[in-house]
Amino acid sequence: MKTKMIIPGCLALLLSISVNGQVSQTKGSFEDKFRQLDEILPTANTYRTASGAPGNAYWQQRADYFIDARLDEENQRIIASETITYTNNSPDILRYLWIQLDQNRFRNDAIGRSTETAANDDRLSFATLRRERAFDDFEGGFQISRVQEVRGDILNTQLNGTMMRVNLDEALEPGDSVGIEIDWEHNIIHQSVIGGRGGYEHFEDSDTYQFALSQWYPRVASYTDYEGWTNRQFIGRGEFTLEFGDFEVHLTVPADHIVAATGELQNANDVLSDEQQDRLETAAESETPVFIVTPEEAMANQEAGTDEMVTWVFEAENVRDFAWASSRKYIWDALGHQQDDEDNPLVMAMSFYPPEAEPLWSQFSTHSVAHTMDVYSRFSFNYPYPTAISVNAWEAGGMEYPMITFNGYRPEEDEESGERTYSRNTKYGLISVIIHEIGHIYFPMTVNSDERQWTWMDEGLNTFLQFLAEREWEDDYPSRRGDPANITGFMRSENQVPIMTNSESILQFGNNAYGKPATALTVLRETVMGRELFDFAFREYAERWKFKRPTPSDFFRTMEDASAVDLDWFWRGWFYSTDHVDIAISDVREYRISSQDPEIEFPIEREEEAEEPISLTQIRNEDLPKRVDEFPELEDIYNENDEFTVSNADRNEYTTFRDSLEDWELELLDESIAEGLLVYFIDFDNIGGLVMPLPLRINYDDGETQDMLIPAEIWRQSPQQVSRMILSTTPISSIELDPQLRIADVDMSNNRYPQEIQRSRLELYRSSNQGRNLMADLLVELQEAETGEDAEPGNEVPLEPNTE
Amino acid sequence: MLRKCLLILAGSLLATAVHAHRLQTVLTTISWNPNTQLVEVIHQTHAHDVEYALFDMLESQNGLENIRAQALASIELVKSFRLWDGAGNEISLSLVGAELEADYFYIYQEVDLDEVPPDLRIEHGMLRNNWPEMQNYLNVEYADSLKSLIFSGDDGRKSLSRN
Repeated sequence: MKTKMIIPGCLALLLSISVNGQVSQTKGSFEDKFRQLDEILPTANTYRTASGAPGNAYWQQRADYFIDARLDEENQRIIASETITYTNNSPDILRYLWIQLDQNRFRNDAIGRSTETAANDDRLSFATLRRERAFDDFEGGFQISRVQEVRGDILNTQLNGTMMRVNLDEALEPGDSVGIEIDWEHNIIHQSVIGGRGGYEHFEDSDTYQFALSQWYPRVASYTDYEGWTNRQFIGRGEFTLEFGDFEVHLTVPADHIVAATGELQNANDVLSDEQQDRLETAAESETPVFIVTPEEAMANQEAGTDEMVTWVFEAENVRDFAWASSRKYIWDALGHQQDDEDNPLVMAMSFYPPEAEPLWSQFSTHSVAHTMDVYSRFSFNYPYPTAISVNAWEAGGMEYPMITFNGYRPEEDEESGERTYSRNTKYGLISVIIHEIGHIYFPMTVNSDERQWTWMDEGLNTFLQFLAEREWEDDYPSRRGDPANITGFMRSENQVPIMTNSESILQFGNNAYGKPATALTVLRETVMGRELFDFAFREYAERWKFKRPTPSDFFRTMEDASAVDLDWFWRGWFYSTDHVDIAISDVREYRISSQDPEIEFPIEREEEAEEPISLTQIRNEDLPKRVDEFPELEDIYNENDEFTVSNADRNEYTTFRDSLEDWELELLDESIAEGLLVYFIDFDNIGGLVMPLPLRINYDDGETQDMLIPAEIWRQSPQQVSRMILSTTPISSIELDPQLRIADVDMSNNRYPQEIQRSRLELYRSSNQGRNLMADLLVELQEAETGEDAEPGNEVPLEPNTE
Repeated sequence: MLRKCLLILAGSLLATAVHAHRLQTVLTTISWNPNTQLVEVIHQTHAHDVEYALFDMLESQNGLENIRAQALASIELVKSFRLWDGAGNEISLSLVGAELEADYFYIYQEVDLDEVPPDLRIEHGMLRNNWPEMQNYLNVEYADSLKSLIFSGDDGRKSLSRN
């Protein structure tokens, strides 16, 4: 090791005072970036402990469902009935239940619909116009015809937007259950026109459909220890807060449909051929995908058509939701994912996709499903269900449910040749979206966080794990989010809100709820905590809250509890503020240790002065006659001896200095001088506000390099500017801050001493020869070819003032 | 007073899609480069979004993998990004080039100005007609501050001022 680190002298510590129960700094401008979060986090209790674990009195409700549904393909409509068995495990008496009616989001009087804002300057896109017209022709929302207690009376209900209160005839006591029957119908949305998490897709060429059905049945809202009924309206962004339960679902569909759904198929003999069942058994033993329905069979199937109906029966245990997909177009492949797990030693990884998804999907989809389970299970817990399904819904799809996900990305079809090909970006886009959505089966389908309140708890954590899984797919995988360097543009922007913001109020949704928290966890793992401490703590969080409902404080507390790392400063900066990272090396000063011996030091100082540049005035005055040359009597002892000439007084002072030192001080001084010890003082300015560790690279004159990491606690008493001292026996040539781009520093131009001219991305592009000249030629050629064409933005509905 | 308006439909309708987890964005940065004495405009888009939106015009079965497709895409996309100064004069940006890096497709523009104009009007329609929920972000870097805008829905021109 080449250097020794010493924390510089004392800095003023300003004490905080408590006023009326609130802590506030009332003198000076000191901001305590390391203040503990206790004043912000909810008080721990018997439901949720101060360690971040479920408490000894933790409880959650339970909702079991029996559903009987029929798909009306011709009219794109669901007709169904259900029985919900609701169990009150809370210590509270409930006089009513709240039911989520998410399809009501598509009613014209829904909050989300009626609060859509217009463009800022009277513009209208074709997409918006198409959507508006579609709403005119579409009757959205649940049509509920009956709500009745099992073996009891019709129940009074109160509809409020996407929520329906069911008033119970008798209050539900703690520990008791109630059964409620509901009959309903609803139209299915045309997904690519209306937009939503489910719906139907119409394939014009073959006049066929696929249905991906989610939020399709009345679901019980959650009742929790921290909020009571979680009955915020569904506006469209904040997703779902749900209870676990068992499902038995009967789905009656056209007889030529293939159905993929949450849960395990119970009546394969009724709906699958013998050959398909044999193929499933083969797939269970296979590490690579095996077709259950081949592409050729799917092509033939979509052309046949039938008027007959058949019922598929699925059962799912301990899931928080149920979704399904149905189409006569589906190709189906599967493999058996083996895991060391008592409950689910075999997981069937499966994919369902229309012929339009080939040749991409059969190669990558099911492998992506299996790969996700391989990686996520290592970082959390074994995959908790018997099936994991990827369905190719519409091109832009990406949505998750227990055991089943709807994913986009398809090849493009050449109009002339009809050949379907896919680009590199389509391939990796598909793998990434499948990893992400299958990953959601862990978070939040199993670690059941409150999506409507905190998007980041599932999207952020899942995007982080997605990043890890992508890195394990292949080297240099083109990940979109997770790498600190990818978040800097957002982190420095003005229009943003803290991560700890309710889902519906988030600005820059993707960066805020996905990218920033994923990056934060990458920084925690790679730089703040280290992999071993982080991985253990993260796994502990996952295990603690598997099949339970964590809140943000449970995550924050567990990560500290399991690692002995105080992270309150990190949560405060990354999750509760909009500060960004911009740390600068503002100055570096080099010193050597002086012996104070004038016989040694004065000649060195004379030499140093001689090396200093001569002023321009002195150079130009060199030939001017000087008075002392004309009158030599003006010269005295000071002209004969320079200021570095050693006098007896200097020698006496040196002797006095050495006599004043203790023995150990004298020994230390002589040793340091003998070794040629150099002392460097490095100043760091915190421009962005976010305190972070300081990853440093020291480059020495002899060509050697040393990396070191200074913990973030260096900022605890001076969060805006700090200095560090480095001792070295070898001269330092340069110092770099964050050379490996670990801390999301938004401005790298001030991260080096001596400073180097930073080149912009555009300059770097100019300096690279790879394809640049060809591109320049092409731009000239193509732009000239376009001369005369209108350069106005296209695809906007022209609007003109109506003067009639 | 209520103004009556006449609506005239024109142009072609691209496929639209709304989704839960595939969040399309473009991040654009405008800054003055002291090294080159030029104002630089850098657009960071997601490559697959561009391929999907412009597939029919890229003349490429491999999306943006070849340089001609990148040139075609960049020429098309910059049509929907326009700047005006405080006096209302349109700032003519020259298209320097484009490149692929991992999942991102970067487009480079520049203009010979002594600084980023203190007052700007910006139109940022890149890809927004393809995805109604798409949001485009703009960061404008001044010497002593950074200003940001978000373009979403059917937003048209927006103003931004250094002060």
